[in-house]
Amino acid sequence: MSLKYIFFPGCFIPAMLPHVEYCIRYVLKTLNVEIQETPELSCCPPKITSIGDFREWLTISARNLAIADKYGLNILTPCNGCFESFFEAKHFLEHRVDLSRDTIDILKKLGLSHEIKTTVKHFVEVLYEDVGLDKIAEKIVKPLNGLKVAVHYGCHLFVTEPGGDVWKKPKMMDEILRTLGVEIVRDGLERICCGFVLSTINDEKAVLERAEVRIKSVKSLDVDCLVTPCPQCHIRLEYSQIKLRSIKNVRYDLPVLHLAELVAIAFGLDPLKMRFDRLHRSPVKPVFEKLLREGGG
Amino acid sequence: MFPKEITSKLKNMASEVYETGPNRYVITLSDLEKIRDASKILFDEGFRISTISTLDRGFYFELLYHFVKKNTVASIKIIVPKDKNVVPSITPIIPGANWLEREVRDLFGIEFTEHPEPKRVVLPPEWKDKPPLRKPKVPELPQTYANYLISLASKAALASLSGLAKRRRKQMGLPEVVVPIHESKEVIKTIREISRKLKVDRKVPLGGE
Repeated sequence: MSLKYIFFPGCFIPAMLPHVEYCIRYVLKTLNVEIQETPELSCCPPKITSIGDFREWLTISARNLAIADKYGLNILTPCNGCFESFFEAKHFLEHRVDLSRDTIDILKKLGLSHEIKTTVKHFVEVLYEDVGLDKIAEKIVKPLNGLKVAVHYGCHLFVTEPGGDVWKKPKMMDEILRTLGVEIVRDGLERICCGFVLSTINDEKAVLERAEVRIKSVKSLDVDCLVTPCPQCHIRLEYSQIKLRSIKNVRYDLPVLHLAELVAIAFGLDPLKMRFDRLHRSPVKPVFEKLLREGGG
Repeated sequence: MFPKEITSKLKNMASEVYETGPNRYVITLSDLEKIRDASKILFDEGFRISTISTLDRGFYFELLYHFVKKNTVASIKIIVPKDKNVVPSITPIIPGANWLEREVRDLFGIEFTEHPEPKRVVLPPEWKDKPPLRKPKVPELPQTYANYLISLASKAALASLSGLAKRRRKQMGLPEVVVPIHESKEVIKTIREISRKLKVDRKVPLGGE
């Protein structure tokens, strides 16, 4: 039975990380996961908009969920921010009727159902739970043995139902990486924030007090790169290294890769042929060269 | 206890009636033009006007007319957009509101139509500067958060595809139009309607027709 989802890439990946979108589509195609793109959807919108207007955030997010519900499909998103927004909107609709009264009224007027059966699934969940590690292992043509990585899950991958296991999805990501043959090295700071939300208020503070703490710690480990499943973390951790050169005149040169890139490389994609190294803002070329040299071993 | 008959009389003109505490009621009027009728109902029921509070909410003013009867306080709330800036005076009905309205006029620059004595009461007659408590017409929200709401209403997304991003996507063979930054006119229209229904236009300008 083939898997089918409403694909919701979010805005960061299409606008700023096209190479990541390419890898995600490549991985899903290789795994025979069908995606449907519907033009009726709008921005998720991120949970931070609820500071401006809570009901606006909830209603727009619920509208997207209700449209996916109309198609009877679950939403697949590779963006941690979109995942959190949809996940929490569904939670509010189900458990906080007092806060979602206006939203339910508007959904009714738009001819949409407020009883949402659609579930939002992160890219990591789809790979681990729906596709399965066995099928991923079958498709590997170039195991990534010998690659040592540090991981940065992104805060919203820890989002779960109240009382649920917050480490459920991060552990799924670890298992996917191990299936590819990657060795994970830990520094105990996996849950630290990349500084994305703080950067909307104070960029320099976000760079110095969030991103640098993690970059410095990973740099002290014996790893080839840092891997993240989150587009915001990806952008912040690369951008912060450039910013640190001008603020403090320090060079970290830590390569940052997206999870989808590693999976796509293991599935046979040549990142150098696609010139992905030119789309990154961190020095990833040596990592790609190492993978292409050692891959298959 | 707030008499039920008053609530039912006000119901046609109120968008919301709620209790904020024991013997404390707030009645939000759906239209500021109804302030005279609403005040008359309370005045005829034996309420007296206590004071008028004005809150500058950036894009609009919130005027609260506090009425008191024994230990009951009922506040009538009206929303005055800064562009409109004019409210019907209740002084012809309740003479005691004379100085209260003049004080609001002096400090916030709101005009009260048909006020019998529209003269300065707090400020000196030679005052030339702007009304001292009137803030500029800016969103009440910090700009960062206001921008998110403006962006949602104008393009139904928080980002858009730059020329460079479009070129890169084309080179890689990725779809030219991608959800959610496709800037579809129908989706933008729907989002703007949702924003209007939720009164987001009181916080930020939504644009459009």
